Amino acid sequence: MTVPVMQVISAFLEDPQAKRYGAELIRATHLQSGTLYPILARLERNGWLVSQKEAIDPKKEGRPARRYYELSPDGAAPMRQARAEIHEALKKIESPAIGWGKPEAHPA
Amino acid sequence: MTIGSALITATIAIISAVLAGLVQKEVEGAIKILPFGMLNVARLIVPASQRRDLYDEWAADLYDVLDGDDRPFVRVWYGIRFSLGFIWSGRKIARELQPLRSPGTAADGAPTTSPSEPPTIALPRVNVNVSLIQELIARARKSQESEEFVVGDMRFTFPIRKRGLGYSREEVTSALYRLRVVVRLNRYWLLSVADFEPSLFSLEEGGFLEHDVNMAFSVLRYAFQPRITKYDAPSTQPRPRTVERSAAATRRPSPRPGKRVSPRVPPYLGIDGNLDIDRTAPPTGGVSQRIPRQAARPVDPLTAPLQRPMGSLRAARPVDPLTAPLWRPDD
Repeated sequence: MTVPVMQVISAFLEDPQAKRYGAELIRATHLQSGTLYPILARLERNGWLVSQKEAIDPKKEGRPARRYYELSPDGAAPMRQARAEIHEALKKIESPAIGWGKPEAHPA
Repeated sequence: MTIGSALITATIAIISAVLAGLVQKEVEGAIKILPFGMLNVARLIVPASQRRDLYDEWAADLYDVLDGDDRPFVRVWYGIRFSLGFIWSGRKIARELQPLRSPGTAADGAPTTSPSEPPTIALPRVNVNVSLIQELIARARKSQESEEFVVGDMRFTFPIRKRGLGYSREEVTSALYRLRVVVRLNRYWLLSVADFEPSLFSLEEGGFLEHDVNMAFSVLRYAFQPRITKYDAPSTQPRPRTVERSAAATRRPSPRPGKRVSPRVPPYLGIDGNLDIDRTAPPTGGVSQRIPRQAARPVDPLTAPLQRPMGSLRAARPVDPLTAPLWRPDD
C-alpha cells in the first residue's frame, strides 16, 4: 500500500457515507489526476469502492453528469484494517529506538 | 474642452469597454480549449469500447476543475495538469476498469469487442496483392525488415514489424487455396482472407503445404531473427516444385559474441527456422509426399523477367517498394 492509496482511503473513511467525485478528491488529497484515477480504478476493481454516474439533466444543471464514488458495503472493513496496519507500522518507525532522538545539550 | 470632444471621448471609452469585455470572454472561452483538447487526446489513448464512459467522467471533473479558481491562467494551468495526467495514465485506468464497466457503450461508432479480442477491421475477400500488402508498405516504412515474395510475375514486399504479421493457411483443396493474414498495425488488426486458385501455381497439394508452411515460419522467424528473406515461389510452369531462396536468406547470421541462440525456436523447426523434414523417409502419401527439388539458383526479384499474367491478379511493376508512391484501392 502506497502513501497516495492511503490518502485516498483516508479521504473516504472521513465520512464513510459520503459520495465523492474525482475533482473533489483531488482537492481533498492534493493528488494529481494521473495518480488519483488509477487508484480509484484499482479500488473499484478490488470491490472496495463502487461508482455510479450522477442522474441529472446536463442541460438543466449546466454541467455534465459526474461519476460518484463511495465505499462499498464490503470495502469499509478492509480499508480500516489497512489504515490501522499502516498506522501501526508508522508508530514503529517513529519510535525513539529507530528515530533520530533528541540532540544532546552541550555544556556551556 | 467643448461638448463635442467630451461626447467623442465618452463614446470611445464605452466602445473600448465593450470591446475589452468581448475580448475577455473570447479569451476565456478559447483558453479552455487547450485542457479539453488534451483530454480528447487522452480519450484516443484508451480502447474505443471505454472511451465514452471514461471521457464523460473526466470531462465532468474537468469542468469542475476549471470552475475552481477565479484567476483564468491558474484555472487553465490546473486544467492542463488535470488532462495531462490522463494522457499518461489513461490506458492504465482503462485496463483496470475493463472487467467492470461493460463495453456496451462503444464510442465513435467503434465496434464493440470482447475484452480478449483486439479491435478488428475485417476486409473480406481482399486479394492478397492489393490493399493489405500496399497498406503494409505504406505504414511500415520505418521497418528495416522485409520479406519479398516473387510469385509468378507478382512481387510482394512485406515490411514486417516485430510480431506484426501473422499468417496462417486456412484451407487447401484441389480447387481452393485460402490464406488468412492478420496484421497488427499499432493498435489495430487487419484481417484479410485471400483466395488463390491452386492451378495458378501448378503445385500438388503436398508442395503447396510445404511452401505455405515455410512462408509462415519465415514470418515467425522475424520474432527473433530480423533479416531479409527473398522467396522465389513456384512459377506457373508445369514443372516440379521449386522453392528457392537467396543465399542471404538461408545463411545463418553469425551470433554476436556472448549472445545465445534464441531458445524460442520451436522444436519442429530447423536451426534456421525452416521446417525440418526428413526427405529420406518413404512417402506416406498426402502431405509428406516427397517432392523433387531443384538446385537453388540465385534470383534477384527486382530484375527477374516477368512471366505471364495470372488471371485477375495485377501484374507487378518493377518498382522499389520503399520509394514507390502509396497504392490506393481506387487507383
